[in-house]
Amino acid sequence: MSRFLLVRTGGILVTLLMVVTFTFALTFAVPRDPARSVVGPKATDEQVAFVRDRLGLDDAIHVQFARYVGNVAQGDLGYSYSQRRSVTAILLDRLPYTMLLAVAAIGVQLVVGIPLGLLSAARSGGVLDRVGLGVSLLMIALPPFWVGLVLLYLVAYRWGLLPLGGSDIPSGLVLPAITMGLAGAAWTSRVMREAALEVLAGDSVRALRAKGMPPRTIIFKHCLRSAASPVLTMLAIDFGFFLGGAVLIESVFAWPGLGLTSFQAMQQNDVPLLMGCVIVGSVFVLLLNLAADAARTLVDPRVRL
Amino acid sequence: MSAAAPVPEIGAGVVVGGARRSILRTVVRSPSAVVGGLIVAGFLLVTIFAPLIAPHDPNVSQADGLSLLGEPLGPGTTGYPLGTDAIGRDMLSRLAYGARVALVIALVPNLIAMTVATIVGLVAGYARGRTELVLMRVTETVMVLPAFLIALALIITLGASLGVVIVTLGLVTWTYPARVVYGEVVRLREEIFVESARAVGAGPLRIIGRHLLPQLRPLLLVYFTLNAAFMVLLEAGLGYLGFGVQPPTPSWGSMISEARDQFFYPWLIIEPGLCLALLGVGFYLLGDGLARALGPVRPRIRL
Repeated sequence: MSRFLLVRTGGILVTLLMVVTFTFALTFAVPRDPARSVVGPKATDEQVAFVRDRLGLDDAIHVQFARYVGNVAQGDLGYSYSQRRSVTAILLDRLPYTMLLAVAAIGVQLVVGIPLGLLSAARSGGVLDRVGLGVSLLMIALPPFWVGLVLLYLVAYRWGLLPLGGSDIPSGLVLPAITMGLAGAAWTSRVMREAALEVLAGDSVRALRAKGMPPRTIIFKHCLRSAASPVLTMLAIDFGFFLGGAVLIESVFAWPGLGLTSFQAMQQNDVPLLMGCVIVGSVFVLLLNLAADAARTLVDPRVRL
Repeated sequence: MSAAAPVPEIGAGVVVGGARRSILRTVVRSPSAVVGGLIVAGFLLVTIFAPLIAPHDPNVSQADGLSLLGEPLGPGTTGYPLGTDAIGRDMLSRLAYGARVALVIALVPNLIAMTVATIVGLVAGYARGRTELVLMRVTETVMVLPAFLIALALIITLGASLGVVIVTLGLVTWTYPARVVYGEVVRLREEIFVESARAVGAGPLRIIGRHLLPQLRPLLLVYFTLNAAFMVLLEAGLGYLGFGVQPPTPSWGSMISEARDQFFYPWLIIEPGLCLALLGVGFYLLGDGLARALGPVRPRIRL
């Protein structure tokens, strides 16, 4: 286990270095003088030259790259042009909102997806199963941001039950969490169903039935436990993506998390802020991937690392 | 799936692989795949005949396209069966031309992604050793990154244009199919027919091109179909944020984006969304049907 952690941490660091190289290259490729962006359009040439010097923009490219990597490693993601603050400070401000939304969305995904998948498997081939498969297919094919807009239109605008957007807690959280959770729940229920069907077809279930165990107990005790591994993996990875900021959903609901931040950064051409979001998003995804692999070993003794 | 050698069809003058024919048969037998195929074919027809279907120019505000109060016309108005948008353009025409964008996005970046996936998977699987290790590590690395954010970062740097969107979508979606191709090649490379080809002196290029690639065709077809649905969703998402195919070209995603605060006129949001959903369902059903002919494969992408 500790060897596994060591190897994987090394892998994550290499991946992060790739991401940072990528964001550095993109920052470089933007046809816009960063110094000019910092001081604004009305500054004099001397002021631009001063900032260029301060930022070290005239240094050789490898010197700049080394400095960039060093800064990122120390948690300094640069300076936001549009908000005139450190990117790290902005992201730390927004992070709690994204975390809250991610937890709520995963909750919806769990509560809807797992029972639906189990029910589908228990009634496989029946009406309930077919309806469930049809609905989950639709949820998979529909763009989540559009589902969000339609929910917003119906629930908030037409029926006036919830606010149209913003970060009022808890009412403002309900619709974005449901939107995000439903799309995930469609996949969760499908994975759950497939895993449960596999268990139901196995010898152990036949033995339990022969022993006289009621089907309900078999479904809830045995299927649930055996299918936990793929479902957990999936939930952990989804959680990583949610934490990275759901750009579209947060934009639809004006939820002030990392996703909305990256959208605003894009609109204002705020390259350092956007690259900060990319780096932080990647870190979350990588960490939760690691957590998913570790969790699998705990749940399923057959998995060895 | 039968692994029969290619059989020449008498009179047809072409060689049809046994594997491919059995896929076709399975698809025809699966009702969901038939439905999916019909939906996709329907959109293809709309794409081809968009100028005939569209009653008006999709990018021109019509003189009678707004009510006297300056509001868009609702669906069912004479002359505008699906209504008009906020500046009086015909929705049906815009949706029909939007199908063109959607299908181009479903096919072209997809082709890029599948080509990269095939090359990476084949080379990694066949070469073994260090090449295999490096290629697959890179693939897995790119695979876990947040694709949508990376795509946004690329597009904002390079500028949103059809070309950039197409290349970007291709670049963020090749990884999953690459790993599947790789897995299949790893299985195939131990087979007798590869060994015998090598024994009679076939070089690596010949083995890859003549012996491995044809075996991968059904798998590539499934992933091409399923990927198409992702592409459409991804472009819709980019379009919603204003970084997809640029106006005035009508793309369903950017149509939703333009109407996102127009709750007075819900059809502006609902109609393009339904088109997206229908095309997505079509590709999924078709892909699912194809996949069932080959065993379970189901990738996913997050927006």
